[in-house]
Amino acid sequence: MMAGAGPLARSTLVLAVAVVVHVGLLAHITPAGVIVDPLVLLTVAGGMMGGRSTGASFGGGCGLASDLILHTPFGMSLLVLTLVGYLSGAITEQIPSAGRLTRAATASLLSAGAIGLFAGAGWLMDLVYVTEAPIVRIAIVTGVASLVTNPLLERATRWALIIRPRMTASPESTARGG
Amino acid sequence: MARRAGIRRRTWLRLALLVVTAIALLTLDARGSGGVLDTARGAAQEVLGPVRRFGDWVTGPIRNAWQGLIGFDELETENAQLRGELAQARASVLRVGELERDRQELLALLDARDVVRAIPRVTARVIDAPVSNFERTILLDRGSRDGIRQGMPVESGDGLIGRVVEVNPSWASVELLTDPNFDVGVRIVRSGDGGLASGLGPRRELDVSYIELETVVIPGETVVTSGFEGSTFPAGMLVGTVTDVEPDAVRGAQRVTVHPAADLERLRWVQVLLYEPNVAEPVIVDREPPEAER
Repeated sequence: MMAGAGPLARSTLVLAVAVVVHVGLLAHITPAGVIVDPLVLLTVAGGMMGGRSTGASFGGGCGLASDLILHTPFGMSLLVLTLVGYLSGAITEQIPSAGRLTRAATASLLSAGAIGLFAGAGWLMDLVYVTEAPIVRIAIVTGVASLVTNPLLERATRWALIIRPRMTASPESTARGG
Repeated sequence: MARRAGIRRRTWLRLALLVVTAIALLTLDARGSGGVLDTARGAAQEVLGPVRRFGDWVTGPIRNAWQGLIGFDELETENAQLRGELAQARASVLRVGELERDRQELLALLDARDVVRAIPRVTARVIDAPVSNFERTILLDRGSRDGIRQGMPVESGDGLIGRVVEVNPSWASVELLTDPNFDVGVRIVRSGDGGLASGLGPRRELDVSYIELETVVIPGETVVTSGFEGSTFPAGMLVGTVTDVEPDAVRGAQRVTVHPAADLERLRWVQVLLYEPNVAEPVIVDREPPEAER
């Protein structure tokens, strides 16, 4: 049914599924007391698959969805995930022919870094409830979750952004996908 | 080469546009003028409410079974802990009784009416599933359908826990009194002096400012809401007890630290006081009416 749909419709569907999984499932399963945010993992995968430009847009979409469901200041997730998407694309462009394991490890580090960036934004905005959260633990659990789920998320974002296999994060894919 | 420069320019432009949008939204939100943002967020929460409850219903037994499997060895420890908590709860009943006597004493001292007891209230369950690691509010399973409005005070059996900050037909979110954004006018029971209690963050005590240097404040004293004009809290709600007092010569006042009476870490059921400051207060007189009126 979605075969003929464009990247916007597909991305919206993937985001909606991620939000439902977040609210309905992951919010209730908390490894080490941490809630894994699938929108962070999805942003990283989107940036890695689509490049910096598409990554920024895809991250922006994820951020906006995140802003709608969280109680943090509106726009904070949009800002952070836009930057995460952009940086994920920019960093992946420096690793031209990475294997599956390297990509998963990169995604893991980027996801953990995204939590650090979120905490940094919270610190800048003087949000005590963000800076006082167990950031290191959240970053580690998010990183591990990203490592495990990256192949699935890569597949989902590749479908959403209509990226053919093996075309990951080149400036050309950025121009086309974005 | 020119094509690559064009791509790079477009990328920067897109990034800048998204960042500027985010900053604009943050500004709108910070200024409290995000009516549309609040509506959008409220609609999203309303739509996702059933998903959330369904998830809780589905994963509940699995979580319990998992806890049972991995936590079998811990059952004994937990049992001992629960016995301890039961003893604490019994002591807490006595303590609350004691604090309630203090509160009544203050009301008598101030010649104030006990409006707190007469205020209608709604009992709500705390939905124990924050969707983020950075949640600063708790969610209740009752909303505007039950008469809850923004700004209404919320208390547990032990004392004040916060105020309603967001309401939808079927749920409400509550900002806890330890939140750094939370301020409430308070009064120290014995002296009757008023100050402003502010939250300092989760699991921290409250900071009460504007208490005059001359006022004698002793640790262990009871602190209640002052209910000054325009406050969203009625007078006489139990806030906590004084744990520390430090004179601040620079400000010409004392800094009083208060331990919240309510245990904010173990909230399951709470009561929302359907109190609106502009509505005429219910008249309940604590003290015996004068002879002439009898």
